[in-house]
Amino acid sequence: KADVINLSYSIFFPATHEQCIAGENWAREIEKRSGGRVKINVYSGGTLAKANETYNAVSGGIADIGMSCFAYTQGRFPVMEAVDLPLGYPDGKIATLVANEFYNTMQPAELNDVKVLYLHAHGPGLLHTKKPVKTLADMKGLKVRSTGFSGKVVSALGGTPVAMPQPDTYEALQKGVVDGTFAPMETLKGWKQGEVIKYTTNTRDIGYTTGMYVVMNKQKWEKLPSDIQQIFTDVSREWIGVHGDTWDKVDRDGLAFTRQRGNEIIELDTQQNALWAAAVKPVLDEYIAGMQKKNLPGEQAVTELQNLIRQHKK
Amino acid sequence: MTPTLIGLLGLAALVLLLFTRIPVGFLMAIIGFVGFSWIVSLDGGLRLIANDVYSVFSSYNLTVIPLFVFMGQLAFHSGISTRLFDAAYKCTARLPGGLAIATIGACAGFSAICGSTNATAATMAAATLPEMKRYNYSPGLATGVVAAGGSLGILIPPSVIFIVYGIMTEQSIGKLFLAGIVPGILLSLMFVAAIVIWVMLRPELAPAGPRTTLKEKIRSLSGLGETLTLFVLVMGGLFCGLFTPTEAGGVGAFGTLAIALIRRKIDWQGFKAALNETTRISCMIMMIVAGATIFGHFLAVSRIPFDIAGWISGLDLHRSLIMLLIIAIYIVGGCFIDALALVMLTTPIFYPVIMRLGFDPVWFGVMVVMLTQIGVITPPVGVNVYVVSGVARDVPLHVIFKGVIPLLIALIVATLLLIPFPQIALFLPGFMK
Amino acid sequence: MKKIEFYIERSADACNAVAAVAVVAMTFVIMCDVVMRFFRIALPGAYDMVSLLGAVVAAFALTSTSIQRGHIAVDFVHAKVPQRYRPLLDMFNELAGSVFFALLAWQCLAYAAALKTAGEVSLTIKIPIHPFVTGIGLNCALLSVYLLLQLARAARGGLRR
Ligand code: NA
Ligand code: NA
Repeated sequence: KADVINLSYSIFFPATHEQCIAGENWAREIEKRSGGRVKINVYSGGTLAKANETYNAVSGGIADIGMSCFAYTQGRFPVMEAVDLPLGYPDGKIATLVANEFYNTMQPAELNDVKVLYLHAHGPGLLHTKKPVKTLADMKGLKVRSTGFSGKVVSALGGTPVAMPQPDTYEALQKGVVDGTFAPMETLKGWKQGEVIKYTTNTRDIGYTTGMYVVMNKQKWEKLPSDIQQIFTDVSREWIGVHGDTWDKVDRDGLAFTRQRGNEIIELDTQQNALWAAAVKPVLDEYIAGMQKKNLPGEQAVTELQNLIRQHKK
Repeated sequence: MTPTLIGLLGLAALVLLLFTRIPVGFLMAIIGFVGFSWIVSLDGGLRLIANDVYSVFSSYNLTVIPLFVFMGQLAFHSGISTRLFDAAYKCTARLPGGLAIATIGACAGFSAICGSTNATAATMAAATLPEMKRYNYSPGLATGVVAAGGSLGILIPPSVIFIVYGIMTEQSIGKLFLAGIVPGILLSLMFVAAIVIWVMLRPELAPAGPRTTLKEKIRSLSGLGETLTLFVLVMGGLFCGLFTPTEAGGVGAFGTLAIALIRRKIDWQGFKAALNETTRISCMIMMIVAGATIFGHFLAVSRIPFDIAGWISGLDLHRSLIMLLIIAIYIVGGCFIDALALVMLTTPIFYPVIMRLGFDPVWFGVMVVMLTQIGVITPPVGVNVYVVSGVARDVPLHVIFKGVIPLLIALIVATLLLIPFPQIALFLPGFMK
Repeated sequence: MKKIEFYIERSADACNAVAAVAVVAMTFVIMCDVVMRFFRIALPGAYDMVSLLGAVVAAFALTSTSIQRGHIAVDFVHAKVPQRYRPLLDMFNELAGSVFFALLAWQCLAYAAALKTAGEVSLTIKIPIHPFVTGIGLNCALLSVYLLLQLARAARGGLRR
């Protein structure tokens, strides 16, 4: 048949990652509902575009659809970057819902050159270490793998941020180049880092997340027949929940993996939690100040996110 | 025209035009660009080239190349590698191909600190080729040994390929690293055996040195002092966790420079020459990687890798036959595609197949690494051979590809040995829970 | 013609010197980072700096590497082609290379402009990325012009015969 619409979909997660599988299922569902009028070829693991090139690849027509993180292209998404602040996300489901609702409220111009299909975000980034960290004082001088915002969080907590790509982290932890890493529970299993850490400190009140987008090339989108567009919109709306649940599932798997290896989870008491939250406050202030300089609504963004998290926590 | 057909045309064009003296990196980039534009769109193709070139050039993981090349060049221009090789030569001179054997030893040692094949080859080429030339070794033998020996960089841990494979297949990277050790040692020994046999058949390729007394041998060992210091600095720092393998390149280069300056073994001319060689070799490697990346993206959208996989998983054959078929595909694929791209493209495709057939995933990881090793030294796209040729500029490429053959045979035999004897790989990781 | 060639080669040398400085800078940044980390102080952005310096090394050495015939090429078939057709083959290769790097230069400059508008910066210390992409673009342009000169040279050589 000549009228099959062929689309390419670039996902930066490796093929075996649950989020890649979720993305692939989204593609299969659209194919199914379109009755075979749409065919989506998935390229996983960055085989078509690497994580930090995905947005440019989609807006420029290298790929038709792409999934990646806002954080990999710093400065390009000033408003959406707020999602990654250490605001205390309780789990991946809520982080995903908050990211989507936040986008709908703010409608930032920074995403205008693509069609946003949906967003998702991982469960809280926590502190995983080789030595136990029970109080804020234990953070002093601790070398922690982190990039971007999480690097600022590490500095604010008194630690030493060390930036490196995620694939290098395993060896760096093993050899002791870093003493710990800031990451969601999921990485302990997904990136095998549970093998080389001993403790996780449940820093949930300052849990940050990483906002991720699924976007489509605008010209390609506008060329789709309206009934196909409707299918994309419907399936995308449904898949917000799918990704949220998947993030929570992989976090549970990560927790089971690290427990099974005999690693310990350290809970912080109320007083410590308050201390940690107070310590990262300057990171939020710095973000707002930076936004003000660009005449962008930084304060509104942070307040909006805090409200959304509070609403969903109930 | 279908994407598959365009993909096949692109492959044919690559093979045809490769031998016309157009730079390899340029050619892969051009064919990749034309093919991608044809399948996707001209706008997409234009965006692709800028994206890929910037992303390869600014890749943190690839910065090990200039750093380790710089270290090797400094070691050469300050005479550190010369003194190391004098010692190696005096101790191994009576063995057939003694210096070539010492080179394999040095490659294996360096592989224990460097996780990439081209960085290992580049460093070792700069350090050892001038010495083998000085002792009248045949250019084919000398360059072939370094190109093949450099491929140990991804088998002996640390290894970029094991890390990527481990992440893609959710296997323990620690286990994979352990699994690479025994095959790495075995392969080094088989390389040595290949050299000994080759030189015994053609003694004129590697002239034996003069007889040396025990006293001379011991005295020559003092030349090892600087190398040992550097080795302790880089290896010790890595094992004590002072820095990552990527950073080791920077520390090694700095340490080599410091030793050269303290001992007043390098002058401004030597330093400038080392820097010039470093920028030239690094630029050449990065341009090939960029070209291979653009070409790889073209192959991906042609869907050829996916078509082949679909075909394989539909076959109704005995499991070892399918394994041999997969091996054949890796060898053919390795002729054209860069190591990392090959692993990224093929792992998701073949991994489910080998799991269904009941092969051990850690064992398959070692197989994949050894098959990629074959890929980096086979024509037409053999990155290690290109790297060595960038250092040994007076040796034509086909001479190096020919010089690699005896070691390539050893490598293929070692790879095939792993099929009846998977314990070679699985013995050490068996001790890990 | 000679004069243009002279200026191109001088520019290539100057660019290569920038690449050499970048190699030394990379080494020192890493060394500083490692030493400071030993004392538990962070050198923020070492990662960013090393990555971007890597781009400087590769891009600024492009033309100089070409002039030194440093880009690996296989002359297996070339050597078997009859002498008088070789300039033709060379001309074709130089033309293909020149056109490709002209396109690449144009695209890099367009990409740099887009990055500037979008305000994209490096991950940790927020170095603007667009100047580096501009640098790649300008070096590609220089290489394109150099290859065009080589084409002219091959053409002259071909006519003389
Ligand atoms: Na290695
Ligand atoms: Na090859």
